[in-house]
Amino acid sequence: MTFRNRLRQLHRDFGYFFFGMSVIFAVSGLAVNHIDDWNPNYKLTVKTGLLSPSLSFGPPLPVQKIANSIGLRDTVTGYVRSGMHRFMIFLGTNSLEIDTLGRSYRYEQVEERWLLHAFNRLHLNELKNEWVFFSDFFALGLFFMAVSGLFLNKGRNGLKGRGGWLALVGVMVPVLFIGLYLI
Amino acid sequence: MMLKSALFTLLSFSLLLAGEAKHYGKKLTLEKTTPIEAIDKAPESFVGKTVLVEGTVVDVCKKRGCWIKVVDDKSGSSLLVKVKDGEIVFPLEARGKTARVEGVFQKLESTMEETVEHAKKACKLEGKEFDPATVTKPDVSYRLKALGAVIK
Repeated sequence: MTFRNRLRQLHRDFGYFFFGMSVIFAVSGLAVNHIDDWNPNYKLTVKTGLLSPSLSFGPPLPVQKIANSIGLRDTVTGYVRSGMHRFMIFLGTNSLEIDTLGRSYRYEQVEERWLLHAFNRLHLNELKNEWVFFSDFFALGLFFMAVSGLFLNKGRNGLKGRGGWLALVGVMVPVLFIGLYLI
Repeated sequence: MMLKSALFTLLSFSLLLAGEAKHYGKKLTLEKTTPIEAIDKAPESFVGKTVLVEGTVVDVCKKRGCWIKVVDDKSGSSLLVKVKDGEIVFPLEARGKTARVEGVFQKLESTMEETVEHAKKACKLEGKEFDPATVTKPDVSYRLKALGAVIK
């Protein structure tokens, strides 16, 4: 077997093995690139309004009654004074902040985009520990695939022909950005 | 029978873990806490100092987990705790839990342009229309740059 054929087989096998990781990093990369425009981890819904004039604010603060008065069915898991006339009521990961002076409320419902969140946590290396070893292995695998990819074909479509030009243009794009914005 | 006892063990273990304190970043070194109310009343005297604070987490950065807002239950005074992106990631589940945070207290002075930009962003987040007349002077804010935290 020639060196090129052996390289081709290895490139193919690495490609298969890292299929899952490539998809996770690609999807998460897209999601995190646009983090300024949207929240890739949670879907937030905010509802604001006024509390019923018939509600009294204690003490003790009737937190469950307040939550129920605006149609919330979640169980109150705790509450804390968050300002001069403000209280933050926790309903699991959702929260309800009330202003006892202005008798207003702000309810924030949080829904986790669990699959995307998991992808992002893997991509951004939040797990650390053993995960670092596997993601380092993936990084080395990508490096191997990038370099071995250059030598898969020879001739007109190989490194000395079209392939070489494409690789050069691909390298020039980040070089251009570094030159324009980072030096 | 075996399945039931296995499930019971798993459930007990999960409940034990649920109540366990979670550590973030460096180990806490200070023992004495500084009340958030004291910092809130005289922030200038704490600038540059390393302090340990304790309070309830009322909000968490939902995009990057890079900050939490901690309040003192009695006074209602609050403190913004910031970490370097990616170094510590606070989970949204921290809301409503008690946090002990050690860090360096910082003063941030924005330029007028930065203040306008911040106000614009805040209005956009809340869905309000930005009125430039509301920004009259550059913003000065304080925060705790966290080194380590324990949340339970």
